[in-house]
Order: sequence, then C-alpha cells, then structure tokens
Amino acid sequence: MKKHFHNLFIPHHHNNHKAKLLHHQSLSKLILFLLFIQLALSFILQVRPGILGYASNITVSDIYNLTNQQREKENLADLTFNNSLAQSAQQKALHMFANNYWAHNAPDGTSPWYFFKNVNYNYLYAGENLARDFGDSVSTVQAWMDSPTHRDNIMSGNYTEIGIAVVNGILNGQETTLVVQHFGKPTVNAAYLPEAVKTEEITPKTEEVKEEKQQEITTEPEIAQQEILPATEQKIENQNEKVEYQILTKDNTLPEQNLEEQILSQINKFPVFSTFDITKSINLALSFIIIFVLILDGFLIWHKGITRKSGKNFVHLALFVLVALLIILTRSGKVT
Amino acid sequence: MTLFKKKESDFLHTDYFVLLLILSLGGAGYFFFISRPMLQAGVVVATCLLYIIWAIIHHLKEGDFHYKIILEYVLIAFLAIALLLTLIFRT
Repeated sequence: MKKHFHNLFIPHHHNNHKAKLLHHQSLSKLILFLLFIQLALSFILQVRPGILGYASNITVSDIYNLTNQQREKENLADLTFNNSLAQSAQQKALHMFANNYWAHNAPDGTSPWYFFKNVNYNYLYAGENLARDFGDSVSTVQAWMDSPTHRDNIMSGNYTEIGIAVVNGILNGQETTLVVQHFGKPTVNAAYLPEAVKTEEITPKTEEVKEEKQQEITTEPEIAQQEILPATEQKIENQNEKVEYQILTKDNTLPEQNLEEQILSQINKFPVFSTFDITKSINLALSFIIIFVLILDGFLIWHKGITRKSGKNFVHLALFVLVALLIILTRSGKVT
Repeated sequence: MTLFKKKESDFLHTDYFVLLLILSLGGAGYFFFISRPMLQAGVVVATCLLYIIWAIIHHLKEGDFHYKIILEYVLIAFLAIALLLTLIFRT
C-alpha cells in the first residue's frame, strides 16, 4: 500500500521519474472516474427519485425583503406583497412540478400569463422570475440581479406589486425548491372585482392592456411576448390532480386551501444529499490532489536536478489552481 | 550571444504572459456567463483548447515538441474540462 502511494505521488526510477498520477494512463482513468460518478448520480436520480436533491433555506419573506432592498438602492418604490400574485406564483410552481418542466412556457403551451388570469389578476404590466436549486434567499436574489433580464423585472418601475412562492417537490427525479416571483401592476379598479363584473369590464379594457403590453416588450424578458391563453376548467382540474402526488410540504401533506397562510410560511426541506454538493466535493478533492502532486513532483525533480522530457508542471499548476478556484466559487442554483 | 539570450528570454516571457491572459480571460468569462450554463461550458472548452494550442506553440518554440508531451497537455485539459463541466451541469 505504502509502495503504491509512493509510486503514485513521488517521482523515482520505478515510475520513470514522474509521479504515476501524472502519467497518461492515470489522467485518463481520472477522467473516466469523473464521468462514472456522474453516470452513477444520474442513475440514482432515475431509480430512487427524491434521495438526491437540494437542501434549501429559502423563505418568501426573505425573498420579498431582499427584492425590495435592491429596489431601494435605486430609489424605487417598494413592491407591495399581493396575495393573488402569490397564489398565481404558487400555481405556476405546482404546474412545473406536476408537468415536470422548468421554463416560463410549459411544454403544453401554457404561458405565465395564464396563471395571472387564473387568479383573476388583471394587469397593466406583468413579469415572472424563476429560480431553482438555490440554498438560500440571498444567493437566489443575487443570481437574479446578475442576470440582466431578471434584474429588469426586479428593478422595473412598471410594477407595483409582487407575489412569491417557494415550493418543494421532485423535478426530474431530484428533490428541489422552486422559487417563483410574479410581478404586476393591476389595471385600475379591475384587479379584484367579482367575476361577474369583470367579464363585463375586461373585454373593452383588453385593448388598452395590449397596447401597454406592446410597449412593455422591450423591457421584459422574452416571455413577455406570449399571448394569454384562455383558462379552461379541464386544465385546472388536471393541474390539481397531478399536484396531489408531486408536491411535498413540511409535514408531507397536500397543500391546503388557505394559500395565503401557506405561501407566507416557510417551507423547510427534508435533509437530502445534493448532487451538486457531491460533485463539488469530489471535483474539489481531485483538483487539490492534482495540485499537490504537481507541486511535489515538480519540487522533487528540481531538487534532484533530474532533466526529463515532459509537460511543465507549473503550467499545469496554473490551470489547476484556476480550476480549483472556479469550483470553490461555483454555487448551486439556476434562474430563468 | 547576450542579445540572443535576451530575445529568447523575452520570447518566453511573452509566452507565459499569453498563458496568463488565456487563463485570466477564461476565469472572467466563467463568471460573466454564470447564469448561462451553455455559454459557461463554452468558455471552459475554449480556454482548455487555447491551453493546448499554447502548449503546442510553446514547445515548438522551445524545440522539445513531442506528441507525448502534447498528449499530457491534452489529458490535463480534458481533466479540467471534466471537472468544471460536471459541476456546471449539476448547478
């Protein structure tokens, strides 16, 4: 065993004066090992969905406060928390889990605006930000701020209200947390009118809304160009059916009808292994081993005054220091 | 002779400066495209390809070019790609 490690890390005449770990064969094996790990993780996700996932500590109130903090930095008015928007954001998150997708537009063509209409929120302007796999609220909002189109939504003066949903569930075999922000500016006196009144008044107002929306397209993400789909009873029923077995709440029960209470309460995740953390740990450990061997090998060769025909250790070292740095600074989470 | 040595030394310094530039731009590009995984992956692959090209040119200049040396750079670059791409697509 000792001899094996000596051969792997120390250059001497048995390994042609080069640490075995830096030989072509060993480097090839390390690449294959990394690919094997990824295949194994993907296999586990397929056969045992829910074991792997992302542990998160995101709360609706934190996302809300951090969003308004960003707006305050540019002297923009705070967004008011709107329960209807929170409800539409919640429905969007449930729809993504139920239909196993992560995008503004569902594979069946359902656009984000469908959910706004579904909760009877009539808007002059509307927008949507999505995030998944983040560990905390700060990194979620920061990722949105780093993306120009999402930043435009957060910092837009067109919006006056916001609704947020933080929902846990299983997406593509992996337990995760979806964060949905729905932004809006309601049409005057129309947002919360009873259904009977709305049907009378919405029709003439639709033209005005469309005009405003055309202007809005330049500042909104690409999703703003989608038409609003008509809400059908059948679609809503199907959506709820699928939600029943997909959504996981804190006590593993179905979402209750009191959405306001549910949405504003923090949903803690079950302890799980994160595929991202596993990959990051393995890759970082491997990078440090390579860095260690390159330094040791280079030093011993220099110290013994051995001349060999080989690549330059300090050049490889520069690359791997960068790789290790990038691995350390890479955080989990995606926005769209 | 002294002049030649000075020029050779400048040549090498330029080489290492170029390498530093490649790696720095690669690192900056990685964070610039942090929210766009495909572009981020593209930056990683491009940086590693430039690393290999740099190695070929550098060893040609030094006069010790050999396919086994370049293969070492290729494998090191592939390992770097594997380390970063597996992470990018797990984020």
